[in-house]
Amino acid sequence: MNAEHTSLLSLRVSVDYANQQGVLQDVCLELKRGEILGLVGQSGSGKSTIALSILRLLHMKKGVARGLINFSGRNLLDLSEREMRSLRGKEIGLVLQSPLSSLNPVLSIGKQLREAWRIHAEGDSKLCSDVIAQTLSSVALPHDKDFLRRRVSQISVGQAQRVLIAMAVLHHPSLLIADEPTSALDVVTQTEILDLFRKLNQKLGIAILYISHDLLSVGAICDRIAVLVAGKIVEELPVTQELRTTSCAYLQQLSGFIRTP
Amino acid sequence: MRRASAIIVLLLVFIANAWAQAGELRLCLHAEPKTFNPIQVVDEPSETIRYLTGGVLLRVNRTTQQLQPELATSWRVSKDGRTITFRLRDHIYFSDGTPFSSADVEYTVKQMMDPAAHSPTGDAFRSGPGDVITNVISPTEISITFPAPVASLDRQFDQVAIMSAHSPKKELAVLGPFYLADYKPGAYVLLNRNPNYWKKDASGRQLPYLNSIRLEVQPNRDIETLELRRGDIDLINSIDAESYDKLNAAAPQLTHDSGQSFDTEQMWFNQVAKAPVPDYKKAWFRSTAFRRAVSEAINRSDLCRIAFLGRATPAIGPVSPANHFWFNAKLVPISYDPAAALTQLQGDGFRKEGGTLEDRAGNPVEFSIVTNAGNKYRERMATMIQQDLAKLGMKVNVVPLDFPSLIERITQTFNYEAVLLGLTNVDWDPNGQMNVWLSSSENHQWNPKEAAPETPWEAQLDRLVRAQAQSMDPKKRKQYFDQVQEIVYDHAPFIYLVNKNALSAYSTSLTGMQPSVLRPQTYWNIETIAKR
Amino acid sequence: MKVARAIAVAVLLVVSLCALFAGKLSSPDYAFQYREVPDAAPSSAHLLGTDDLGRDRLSRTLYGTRISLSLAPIAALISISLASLIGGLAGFLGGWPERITMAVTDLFLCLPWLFLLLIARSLLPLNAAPLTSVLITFLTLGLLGWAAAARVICTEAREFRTSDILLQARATGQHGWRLLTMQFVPRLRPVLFAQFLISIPVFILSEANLGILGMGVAEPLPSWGSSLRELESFSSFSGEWWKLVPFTLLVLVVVSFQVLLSREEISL
Repeated sequence: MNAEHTSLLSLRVSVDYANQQGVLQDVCLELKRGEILGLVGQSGSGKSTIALSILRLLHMKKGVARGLINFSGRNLLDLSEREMRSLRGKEIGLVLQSPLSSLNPVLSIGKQLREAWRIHAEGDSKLCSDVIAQTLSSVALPHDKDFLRRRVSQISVGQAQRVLIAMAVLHHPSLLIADEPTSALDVVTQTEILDLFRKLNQKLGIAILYISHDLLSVGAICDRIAVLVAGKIVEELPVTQELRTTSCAYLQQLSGFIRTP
Repeated sequence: MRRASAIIVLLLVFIANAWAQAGELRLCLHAEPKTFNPIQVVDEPSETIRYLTGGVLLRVNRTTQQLQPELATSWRVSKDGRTITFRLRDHIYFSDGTPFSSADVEYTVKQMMDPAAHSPTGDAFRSGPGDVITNVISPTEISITFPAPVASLDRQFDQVAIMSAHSPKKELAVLGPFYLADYKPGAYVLLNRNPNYWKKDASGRQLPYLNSIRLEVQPNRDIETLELRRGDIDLINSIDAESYDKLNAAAPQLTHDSGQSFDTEQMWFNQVAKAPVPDYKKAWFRSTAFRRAVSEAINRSDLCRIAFLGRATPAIGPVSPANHFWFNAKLVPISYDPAAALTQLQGDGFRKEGGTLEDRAGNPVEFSIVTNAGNKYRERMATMIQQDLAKLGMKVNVVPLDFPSLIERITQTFNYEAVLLGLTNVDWDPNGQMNVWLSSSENHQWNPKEAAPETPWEAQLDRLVRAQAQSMDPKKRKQYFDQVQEIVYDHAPFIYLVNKNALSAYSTSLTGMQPSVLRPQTYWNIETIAKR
Repeated sequence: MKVARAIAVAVLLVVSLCALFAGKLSSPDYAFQYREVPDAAPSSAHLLGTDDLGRDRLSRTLYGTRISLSLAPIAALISISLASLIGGLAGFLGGWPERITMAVTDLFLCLPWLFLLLIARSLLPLNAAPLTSVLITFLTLGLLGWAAAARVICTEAREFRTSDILLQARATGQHGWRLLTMQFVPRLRPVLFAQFLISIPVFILSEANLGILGMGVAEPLPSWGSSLRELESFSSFSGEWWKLVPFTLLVLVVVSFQVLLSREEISL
């Protein structure tokens, strides 16, 4: 199987919320293995809803998805909750926007990572510690005991975001969904995190669905861009080197476009 | 000149004010009076107003406890105890000027005995079915015949304030020393001197000495005490031992202890056959030896000294020694003798093993005393009794309960073992206690509504109580009631603990005070009280 | 703040030790009535004087401390357990279970407690030993005191239910009981601890109030509640400072708990 050209995820979904109909209307997306797809759109356009639909966690926001979510040859919407649980965190990782509110403030970082590990892995604590150490160093974090003992309030936001990413890639998923992963960070840290994503993509071959409203960062790392406006995909185009260099002007134009309903 | 006259006017106003102030007695009512109609009185505030405004035919002298003539100059009770004949004073006028005659007495009695009026005052005269017959012999003579004999018929008229048959002011026209002048609900009742009051003092001066009485509605007893100390009020009729003690320490000139009152504090055991109490316990409670032993093991003088801060006297029986006529003087105070009590219990099959008293079957003696929560005197007494009885090896649990559920237990469910309560005795005549002693009565508290007397001594009590009720001869009645007291003393269905002292407090500016143990303790002779 | 915390811990420690060694520090019989010296001022025989029945005040204060200080936390534990079970579950589940539970809690909070407690008292046996009755008293308090805490915990649980923490945890595949014990319970722990500390003084004072209904600690057992009730008629001008000792002790303990509590909240 040629990983470069096989489809990892292809979806066509509509989503309704209990208090809002047609949040997503027949949205089609296609993601190849090892590809980084940027999903851009204004806040409220339904970007996060796509992420939750793929993870089948929409019910937490009282939403229902209809359609088809094909992931590695299986329709996720047909899977049992049990099967779905074995996918979450193992095959599909999620990184949320705000690391400070996504990590449990009363648990140590080590404990949260260990918990994320032991859900999908048998094996002794030695292996667990090794994997965690390895993953932490791959996201450029220290992995000494002192660091593992800290709580989220005792590390920086950038570090917390890396912890979150480490947790998401602990099991080497084939898909990583990053929902606005840099919007809570300062510019320097943003760049570092973007580099990290690119590195993970290249080294581990993880496909990334990169959700953002920040066109510059999307343009910087994505292979393709899909633009979501009011629950519909309105534009889908590849990002070429040429586009990247001239991205400023083009993306300005695109943002103007996005603002047009 | 104008200026001078203004000053004179001001001066006069000032003098008048000062004079009015001097002649105004102030005291507190503890609640709103429910009625100003004398025949409808049930509550204490209304009773106070009736006492101060109502003119009565006969008055019980609260010091001598004897009857004295008021609006009646003389009276006669028939042999059968049903008929009373009054000779009335002449030239008497109601507060509004309406003349008084035997027709007014007839009117009052008719009103009071009218079944439709539901008069609580009339209840005391309602001894049997039938109508009351009044016979107006002359404007100054009247005889009243009740359908059945009424115990102490003449004394009952102490409660009957005569109303006018003709006055347009209805019951607000009064014959007593004061009349109702002003009433602000929630604030005060003002009584003014009745200018038509008939009584004169020895020097011929018309009574009452006081110009007015201001009764402030004040439910808070602590504030009442404070007001007395500040001089805002002049007297407190009845004060509890602890407040008395504090006041006595701060201002001893204000306090007056009139000694042993008629009120009793007593304890009794549940003797109800169907009570939800284990049978072996019922056997103890029904044993006279057990009850007497408990009675003798209680240190009553300690109860008086500690629980009541010395403002109580050990009780002997249902009649307080303060009731000079009815108390059986042969009865001696119950001795405190734990050793004798234990001997008595051993005679009844109990034995003391280690520190525990056991009955014949080996059951350890343990029972609870319920009392009303919040009454610190009773809670203290119960705790002291707990320690006293521990000396006999009895384990006593003190259980304070809220009053309604306490009453439910002792009158409905009978789910209690022993209870400590008090009885307020307003009646000088023990005939009022008849319903306590009759075994068939609902108020026969240790074992209410017995179908037939369950013990010989209860049968004997029934006979004696009935006999005294049927007899009209005070001497005979006294003999019967002496025996009642002896039986109660010997069998201890009620274990009488203490008689509270009648405690009052009043300002030194009052003269003519003769505090008594009978209600209304301090102002019973209101017409001869003056304020300097 | 650190000093305050140290003082608070020291106060609680000293008070607990005094209560623990009550028998050694004072006359071992807290119930005996020295009837020759009722309501006495402090003397060498009775360091804090005697109460109205002549019982040694020091001994009663210390034994009362023992009772109040050991039973109030137990009652608090009971009520917090109930509250976290009820409030936590309701908040975590959300939807109609939450609505129903909160309606019941609101109802519970506005019930005429006085009346219900009286009924409860009338159902209790009269011959309970004093120690049994004091246990029942605190047990009742514990069983009835959950509602207010349940509301707080429910709010906290609801917050957790809609938080990114839960979303993130589920996105890593966590679920069920494990999710509850690993993520939820630790998240609630500070709130539970705060509620626990708040309820202790509340229960100490409630016991005093229940005594007025005849439901408190039974005679002759002492408690802070019964000592406080004596102050109803206390006059500050009488100069009988020794009568204020149990009250002072209570205030000290409550304040100490508060100091510890505020410290805990800061660390959140």
